[in-house]
Amino acid sequence: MLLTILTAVVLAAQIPAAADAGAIRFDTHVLPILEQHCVECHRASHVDARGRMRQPKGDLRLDSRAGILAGGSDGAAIVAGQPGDSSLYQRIALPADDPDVMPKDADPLSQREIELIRRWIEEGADLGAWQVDGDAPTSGAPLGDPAPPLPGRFAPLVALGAPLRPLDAATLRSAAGDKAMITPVLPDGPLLRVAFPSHEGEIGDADLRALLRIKQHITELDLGRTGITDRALDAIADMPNLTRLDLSRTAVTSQGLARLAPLPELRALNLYETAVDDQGMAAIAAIARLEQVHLYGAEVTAEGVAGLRQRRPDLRVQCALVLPDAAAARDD
Amino acid sequence: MSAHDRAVSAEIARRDFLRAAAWSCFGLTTWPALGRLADAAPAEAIPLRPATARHVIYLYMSGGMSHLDTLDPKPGAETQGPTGVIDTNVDGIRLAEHLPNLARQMDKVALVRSLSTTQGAHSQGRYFLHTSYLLRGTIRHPSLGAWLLRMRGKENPTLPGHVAIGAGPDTAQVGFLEPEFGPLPIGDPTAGLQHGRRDERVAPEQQDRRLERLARMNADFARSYDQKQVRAYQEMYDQAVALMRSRDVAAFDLEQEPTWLREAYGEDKFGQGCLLARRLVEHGVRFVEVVHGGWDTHNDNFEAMDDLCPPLDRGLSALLADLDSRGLLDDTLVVVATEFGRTPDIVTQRMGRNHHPKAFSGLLAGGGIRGGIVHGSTDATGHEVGDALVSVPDFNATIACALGLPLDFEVLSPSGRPFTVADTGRPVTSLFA
Repeated sequence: MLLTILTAVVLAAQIPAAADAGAIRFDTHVLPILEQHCVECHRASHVDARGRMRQPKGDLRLDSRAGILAGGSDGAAIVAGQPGDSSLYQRIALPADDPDVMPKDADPLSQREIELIRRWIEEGADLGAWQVDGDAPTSGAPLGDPAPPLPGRFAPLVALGAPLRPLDAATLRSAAGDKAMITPVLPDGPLLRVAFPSHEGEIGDADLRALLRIKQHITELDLGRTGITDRALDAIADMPNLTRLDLSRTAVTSQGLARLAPLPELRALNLYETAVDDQGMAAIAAIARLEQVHLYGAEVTAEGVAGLRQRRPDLRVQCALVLPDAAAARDD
Repeated sequence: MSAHDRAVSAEIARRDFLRAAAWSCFGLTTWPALGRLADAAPAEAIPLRPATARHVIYLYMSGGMSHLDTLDPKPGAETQGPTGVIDTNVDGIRLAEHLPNLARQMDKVALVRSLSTTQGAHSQGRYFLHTSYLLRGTIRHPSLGAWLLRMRGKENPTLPGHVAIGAGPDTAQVGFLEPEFGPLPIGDPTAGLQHGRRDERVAPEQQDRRLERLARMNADFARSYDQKQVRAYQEMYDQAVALMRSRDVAAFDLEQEPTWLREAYGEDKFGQGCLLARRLVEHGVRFVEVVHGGWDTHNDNFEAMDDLCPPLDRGLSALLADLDSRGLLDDTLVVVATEFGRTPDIVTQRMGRNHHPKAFSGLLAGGGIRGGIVHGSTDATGHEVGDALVSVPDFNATIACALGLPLDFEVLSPSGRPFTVADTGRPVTSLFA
């Protein structure tokens, strides 16, 4: 009994004065312990001196902020304020001959070090501002790479969507009705793509009316193979953020196209297999920011297309189906 | 593996395939409300990159396509054998002489010449290619198409979302996912959808009355056993009937295409399969796999190329041109893949090439992929990957990334183990425009 008290007193006296003086700091008190005893095994995957790929043991990384917070295959390494629930503390506090004691196959931590960690966890396990290069800025982005650059096609959408807020599900449902399919173009973004992927009901001009409720948010509209006519183009012209419009295989005509000229952001227009003829070329040329138009199977002639290309050399006009020549000789 | 074991495993594979086929016969799914919001993915599954592809046409070259005789020729090397080399419409990129039409569309296409796999046998290689996981006896993993449906849902609610044309076992498969995500198998693309139409001898009103009678008979059972499988079975019937009555079933009818276009694709199963794939994608089908077999050229490799390459060359080129002129290529990812390559060293007695998993080639086009580029390379003889090695899971991660699928989204198998769409694969981001 007396010996136990004496031991406790001696041990208590070994806690460094600095720690006594105030809260434990992670970077000066705890980090050196981790670096000396733990990080050898619990670090990012790497190729060792023998050329073998090594993974962090137990899937636990103690060499980064994100790793410490994330824990490993055993669960959370640290539960703030609860050293008894924190496997980081539990494992190092096991008796030296316990098979599960940490560090594995190395000298156990000193009582002072174990006590430091226990107190640090009890006081809230605050990592302070400590961070290393390569720490992912957000939790749960396991691949860790910086996000790839935005595909070029979506570049205008960032500015267009900036002043808008994403619509709630109820609004979208009522605008979609029972025929439209609405998806966000950028994940969690406010700008939407509207399509009618099944043509069970005859989709007609009237079906666009409900969509006008959300007209600011529509940037891609796919009306291919629906039953719309030129009349629908009036509603479409009222969508200020429309960048892509698919009217393929519909009954729109050259006369109707003129209504699209005011669209300020339209970049791509698909008119394949429509009745659009050379008379529609002027209307297409008038869409100021148009970058590509598909006219395959439309009623245009080579002269009409040439005229369009001359007026708008910046416009990519797709009008022919350039097929492989099945009978071509092998030596090309 | 003994003959008995082979027979048993073939039987299991066949049963799986038939079971999946029966369930997904008409694209079974829990019937979505038509005005639904697609992309109702769980909150934590944020994709890394916005989707540029909404559909995939996956052209699988079964048997191990020789890379030296197709996409990665080595002019002047002894290993090239008699296969010639041609220029393409992109400076600096050359193809084997058997692909002249593709050479004229090289600007649309990205070649991946540094593919490498650890699986050198057909079943294992095919399975690994399609699922990103190794073949094991204890579990069946889903293929890319099933994952896509699971994470993105269908576009066209009346058509199946996943179709496999000319496919065998270990290719497109639903694995442990719900049967509704499995592929609809089509054997002969020119035959249309089998049993997809109401029998002419039965008038629509008659059919309605019969179905109503059947529903009444089933009602008691459905009430007593209100379980997922029972409901799913009823929905399968509902959807089959809806598909029969749907106008969109015409998507399966190649007779609607002009003869000159059918000829341009090639009057062979693969070419017509590519044409059917274009029609299906046009009608909102998400994932279509078309299989072109016979590439296992241990014997008479060079003679075989004369038979194998023209359908690929014609079908792929027509597909790319056709998709492009309809404005579909931007949204449709076209993939050409094979399970492994073939040995640069020619086995002279048979004039053949054996399996070569260490280095082989694949192709990606459309759906936001940069055209006219080559990623990675092999050494001067085609034996080893030179730089930018792309593993099979990496290749699949690239496809998933183009589709905007989160690579960390986990689904638990029935035994409670987590799996993702491309396992540990990382996307090759330099392939994206």
